[in-house]
Amino acid sequence: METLWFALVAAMLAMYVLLDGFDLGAGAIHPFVAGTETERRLIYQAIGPVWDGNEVWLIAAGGTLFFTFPRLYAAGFSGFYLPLMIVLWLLMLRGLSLELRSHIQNPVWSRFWDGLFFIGSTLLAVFYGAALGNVVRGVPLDADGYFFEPLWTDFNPASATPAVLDWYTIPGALALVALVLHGANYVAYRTEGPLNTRCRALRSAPGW
Amino acid sequence: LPGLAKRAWLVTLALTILTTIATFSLRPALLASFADRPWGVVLPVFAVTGLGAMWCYNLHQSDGRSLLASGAYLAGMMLSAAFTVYPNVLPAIAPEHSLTVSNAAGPSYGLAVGLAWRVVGMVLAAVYFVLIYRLFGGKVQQTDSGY
Repeated sequence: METLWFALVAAMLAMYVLLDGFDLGAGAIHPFVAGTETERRLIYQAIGPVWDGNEVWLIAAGGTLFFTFPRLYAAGFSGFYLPLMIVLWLLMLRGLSLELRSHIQNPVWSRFWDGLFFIGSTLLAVFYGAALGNVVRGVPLDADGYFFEPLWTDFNPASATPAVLDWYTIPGALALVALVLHGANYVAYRTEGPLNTRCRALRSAPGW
Repeated sequence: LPGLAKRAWLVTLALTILTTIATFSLRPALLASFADRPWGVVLPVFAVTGLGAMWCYNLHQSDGRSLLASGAYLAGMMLSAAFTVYPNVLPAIAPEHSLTVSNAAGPSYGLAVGLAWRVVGMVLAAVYFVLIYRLFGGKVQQTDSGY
């Protein structure tokens, strides 16, 4: 039964990364591929109806962890307290950007939310990748099943103290680039014209 | 960043290799998961196939298939990570302190009841998922209202 729940939680998290991943990628690329207000709004309209549904998978996975693996939930949420608070704020800023941006037709207002949308999407991708990297590497759990990791250390591979962001933050960089690709694929799939062309160029591979 | 992003596929390939090398050199024990359960090799193979397929579909400018390929890559990477840490749910640097599926799980009664509720929840989520993507599928058109 425990193994089945482990597989279900892993599947839910994979589903979340698959679906909200293109939202994050679209947010990270939108200042570079959308040249005009119309193109920026096309990107928002491409992800607007689905982004909140996609985030349900994250909430479902978090809720499932709470009752299936309560010790993991307790240890993880206290040990990663600061990064999780940052992630929570970034999720809120992204949601606010998506919902409030087009309420007032003013360039200053739009650019402000565009900036927050870009920062929120980019940093979330990095934090998700770093979090997965930390879980795979292992955390300094004590005999009571608790730990604390600082947000960053000296980025020295020889350092004895692991941190959420340290030399092994490569998965964070990988997550950002992979989600940029996924976001470019989604925006290219949902749009036409110059925006589609720019997304195809962004995801270009050798030989293309 | 724009210059880097223009070669995003190549950077993804390079970082995938770098992450794999760094992970297995830091925790060689993770490789034992594949020795113990060889069927798990399909997961990283699925990820690599997704990355390769993305390159092919980019060549043919097939946006939908390229999106599916990047999804396969992400799912393959996530599930590979879950496979390698199992039976741990939160590995510790000192292995004897690791939280495993056995010592971190809730009571078995709760897990059984939760499974029944989950079936209902997943049916609802699946219906919503299909409905929303059918309603808002296809190429997006500029409108003055909404987002």
